[in-house]
Amino acid sequence: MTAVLETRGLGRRYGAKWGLRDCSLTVSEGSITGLVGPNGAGKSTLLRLAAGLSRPSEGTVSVFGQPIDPNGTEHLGRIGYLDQHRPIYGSFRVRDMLTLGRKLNTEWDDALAPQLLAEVGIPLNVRVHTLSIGQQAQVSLAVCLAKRPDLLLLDEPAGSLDPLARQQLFQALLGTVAERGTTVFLSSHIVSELEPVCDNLIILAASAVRLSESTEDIVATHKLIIGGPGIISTPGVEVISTKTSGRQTHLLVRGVLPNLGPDCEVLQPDLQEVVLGYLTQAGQQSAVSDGSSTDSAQIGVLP
Amino acid sequence: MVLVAHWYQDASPALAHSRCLLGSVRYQNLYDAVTSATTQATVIAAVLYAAPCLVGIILGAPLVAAEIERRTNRLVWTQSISRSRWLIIKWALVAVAVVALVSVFQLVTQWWTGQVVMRGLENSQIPTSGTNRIERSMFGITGVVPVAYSLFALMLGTALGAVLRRTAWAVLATVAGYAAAAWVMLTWVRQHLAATVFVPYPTSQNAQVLSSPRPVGWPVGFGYQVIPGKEHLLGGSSPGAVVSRCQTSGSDLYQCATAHGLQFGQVYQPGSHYWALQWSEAGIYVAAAIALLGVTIWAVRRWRA
Amino acid sequence: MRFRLDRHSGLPAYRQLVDQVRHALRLGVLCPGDQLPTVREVVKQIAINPNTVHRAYRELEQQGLTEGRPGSGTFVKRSLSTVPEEQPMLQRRLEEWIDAARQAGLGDEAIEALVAEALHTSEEEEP
Repeated sequence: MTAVLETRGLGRRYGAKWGLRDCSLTVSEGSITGLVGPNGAGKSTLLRLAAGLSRPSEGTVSVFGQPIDPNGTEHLGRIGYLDQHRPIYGSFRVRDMLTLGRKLNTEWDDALAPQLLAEVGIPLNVRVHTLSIGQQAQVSLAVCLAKRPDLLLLDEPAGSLDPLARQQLFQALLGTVAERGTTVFLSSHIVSELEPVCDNLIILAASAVRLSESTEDIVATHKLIIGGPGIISTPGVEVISTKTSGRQTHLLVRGVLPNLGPDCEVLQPDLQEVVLGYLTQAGQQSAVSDGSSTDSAQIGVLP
Repeated sequence: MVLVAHWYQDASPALAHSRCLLGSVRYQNLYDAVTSATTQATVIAAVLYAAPCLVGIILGAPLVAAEIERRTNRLVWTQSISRSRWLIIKWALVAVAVVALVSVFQLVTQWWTGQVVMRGLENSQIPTSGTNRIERSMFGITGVVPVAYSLFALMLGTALGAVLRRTAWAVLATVAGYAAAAWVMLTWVRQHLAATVFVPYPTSQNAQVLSSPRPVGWPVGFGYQVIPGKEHLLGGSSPGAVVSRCQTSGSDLYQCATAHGLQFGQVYQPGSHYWALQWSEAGIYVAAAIALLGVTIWAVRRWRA
Repeated sequence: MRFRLDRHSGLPAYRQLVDQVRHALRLGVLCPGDQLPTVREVVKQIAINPNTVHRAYRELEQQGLTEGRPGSGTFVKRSLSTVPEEQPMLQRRLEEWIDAARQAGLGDEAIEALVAEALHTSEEEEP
């Protein structure tokens, strides 16, 4: 599997604060990879670095095997980037936006964008500012897709859209992607939206990559243990997060579990629970590094 | 014969000329020329002088800055063409429109200033030759310089917008920058773009200035030069040293200076130099505009999210 | 043929698609020779990963229920529905059994529970 996007130790600093740190990941060809994490985790930073809009402070980012040159144009022809603000020219007519796309790009599918917009009932001769934000998102996506990119970089493409608009957007996106096997790298902070769509998931929290695996493997390798105050720690099992309330402890773990006995209940977490576990871990770790009191729930000792 | 001249600028008209948007103070000659409908002429002239600056603000300041503010640059700079190419194309479209608009506008202005000159000639005592357009009050709104000004203003607005990345700041900076450039041009540069001519004041037997000649053209200021044949009266000092000695000596300046072989007179640019000055000044502004285009390209390529 | 994705069922998405096709085959909604919706059409109906659809269709091919014709699409090969002639006979036998159950004193709820239990048991035995 060729790597369409590859980063090594990628980092970006804004003044004293790191927006992204030590990020190493691979997005393989033809896959749909989701980037999930809370706001401020570094998702937008990572996507902008991949699009060449930002320059890394450290590390490298390569697209199609070549390091990105922000002032070069080779990679621009092969990527389609949609910023989370979905910028658009409000005073343009819809067809002017398509003309803009045609003029600014070497490869352009003239028939695709009008077809996509017709499927969702958006006329071509109205001004963009008269459309709803869901319709504007469709226009932005259509411009992105008509470029026929090999890699799509979408930063929260359905952000702030109502459920129907979200579904229509994903239908348009996935329908087009299904035909060409385009590689997609998209971000969201809504796990349930990404779950049916993504082959792979990357969890980003506090500017660092926490997990990068296929969605199937994530669900298969993680377990939720509910037990009493003391839980046996086992080698080969990694504790991701711990939540204690009263005498009950919830542990999210990863690995092959031995028989834990009747005091513990082992459940299959859904993807949302796994992601939350990692985000909790990230939160606890930054609390520790901030110097605040350590969370008392560590790996338990023998009762 | 060595012509040594020092300019003593008349400060107030220079300051008045430097303000791009205020027009009423400067037009001494215009006032002389047009005794009727003075206010009307002044206002019109002020608007005409302000026009290139307004072009720069309205079209140039948001050219790059508004794209950055609205984040549409994240859309257009991730399409397939390079940022510099995008900028040049966008700027060229606007520049062509500006040049066309200003040129058409110029036809009207040219006619209007012609009317002013003719009426002025009817009303004033200025000897006629029909080339009063070289005067400070009319030079900047006639001929080819307005187009050069508007290109410069457009490019200044664009460059400042690209560097400052905010339209509001670019507007303020463009006004300040344009005014500064105009002031520098008017105060120091324009009079040197062609050789000036010196006309001595006619004097009486005892070196009293009889009248102040007003040749047709642009009076740059008054100055002095050595009277041909009387260099020996300087006594080895420079003309400037002699003049300052005379000024501090307490005696009559003119008598003292004449005694040392100097004569005072009017330094001016004759009307025949009009087109030389026009093309030179236009050339300077266009060159500056091209330099600013380079600055803009640099700023655009340098932008990072 | 319309698909539906139940996000809370705990079943993987491709499994749900396979089951829905099998269900349609049993009910006679899909007959041999019918074309299944293309991957693109399914993806547009329910916004899921195209690879999931590919996987479901491959599974159906492996089960021998469908065949892919290159360039044309995926077509139903075999039906799962019962032979139509048998249906009236089965229905008659079912009605006789229900009468017998009622005579034995079973109410509707008890009858439904018995039927569900029997189905459950037989599904577990199904290959």
